Amino acid sequence: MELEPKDKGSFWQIIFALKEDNTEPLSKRLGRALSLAENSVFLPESFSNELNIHYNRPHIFVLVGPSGVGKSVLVDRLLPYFLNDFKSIAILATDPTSTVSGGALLGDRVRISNENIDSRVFYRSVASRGSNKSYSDSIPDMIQVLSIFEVEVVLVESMGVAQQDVSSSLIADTLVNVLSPSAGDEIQIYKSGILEFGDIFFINKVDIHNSDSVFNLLQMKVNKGEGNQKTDFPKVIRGSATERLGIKDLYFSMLSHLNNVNPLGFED
Amino acid sequence: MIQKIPFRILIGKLGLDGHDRGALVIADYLRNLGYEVIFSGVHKTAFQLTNIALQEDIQAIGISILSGSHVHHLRSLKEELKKANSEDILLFVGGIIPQADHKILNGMGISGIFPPGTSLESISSWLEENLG
Repeated sequence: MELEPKDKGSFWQIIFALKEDNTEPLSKRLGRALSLAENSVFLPESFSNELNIHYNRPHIFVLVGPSGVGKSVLVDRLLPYFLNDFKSIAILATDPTSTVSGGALLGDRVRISNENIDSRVFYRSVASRGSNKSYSDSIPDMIQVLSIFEVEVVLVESMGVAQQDVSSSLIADTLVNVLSPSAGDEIQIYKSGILEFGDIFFINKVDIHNSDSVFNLLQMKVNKGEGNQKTDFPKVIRGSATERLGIKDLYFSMLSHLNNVNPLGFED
Repeated sequence: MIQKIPFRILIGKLGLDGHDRGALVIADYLRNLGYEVIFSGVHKTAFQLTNIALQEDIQAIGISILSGSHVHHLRSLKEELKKANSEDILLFVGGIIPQADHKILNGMGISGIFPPGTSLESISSWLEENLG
């Protein structure tokens, strides 16, 4: 499997070859294919639009929120629900690359329970590698690779974000904005930035902090339209990932948003 | 600017051994040297660790272990890697490993053995040498 793409054309040929090569385990082939997408320094920008005609793009859920808010644990708690409804799911979990050493400690995987390590779950830790967004610049290409490998759903766990970083909204079909009820007073909710984005707002850690004021403010702030234009989204949900509160509600809201965006469903 | 592509290393814990401080010290040290380090978390089986290694497309697995069951666990890990056609992944191990067992591990093709008292530098220079 020593493969080095030289240009765009041979890049995709190699990805297709990896997909078809049944002599190697699937996770190895997909792991290698994602590395090729991640390491392709020869491409100035994403070429993700090229193959969409032939392949169904998977639905992309993005979890965004500040560092330590509970995104990785939420992924773990959501997995059993996804496995119940979908054939395969990939998680791309981003953590920052050190600007000092160029290295990274990729620790999101630690939150995944052993019972969720399943052959239908493909979990990949992705370092930001100098990206100034809340995910690595190679994520769009990695998603394209996942489409070729016919993964049904992709969950992107973004890096912990600061309030002005709204880049996650660019790649998400469904954006889940995870908040902590302890993150400041109501003025914070009225500020611009990432809180202006989100199909679903999940207020986590309600077992530790009183979430009433954040919940009520967000409810008030999200614009669901009027009259006939009224929609179910954005939706505000509260719960606790560690205590497994509100997870079912969150999952079914994500599913319902998926069906809103992609009403025809996936082809079998 | 062409960036150097970092090596990816999995720091793993096998079996019932739940002590992760040593693993985290190594993970942090390697990260500061520019490696992309994935920490598996504790209580993994050889099968699970192999699957993680494949998904993450790593070049080396470092096992931290102090339970005394290193020979058994590393043998299973070797077997799983062989089944997955991934014997090219470099293995190294640190922890309470008696001198008498070094030979057994060497015999299994594991040369990177780092018992108590090992300097961090000796681990990184071993890695540099063996990752090529």
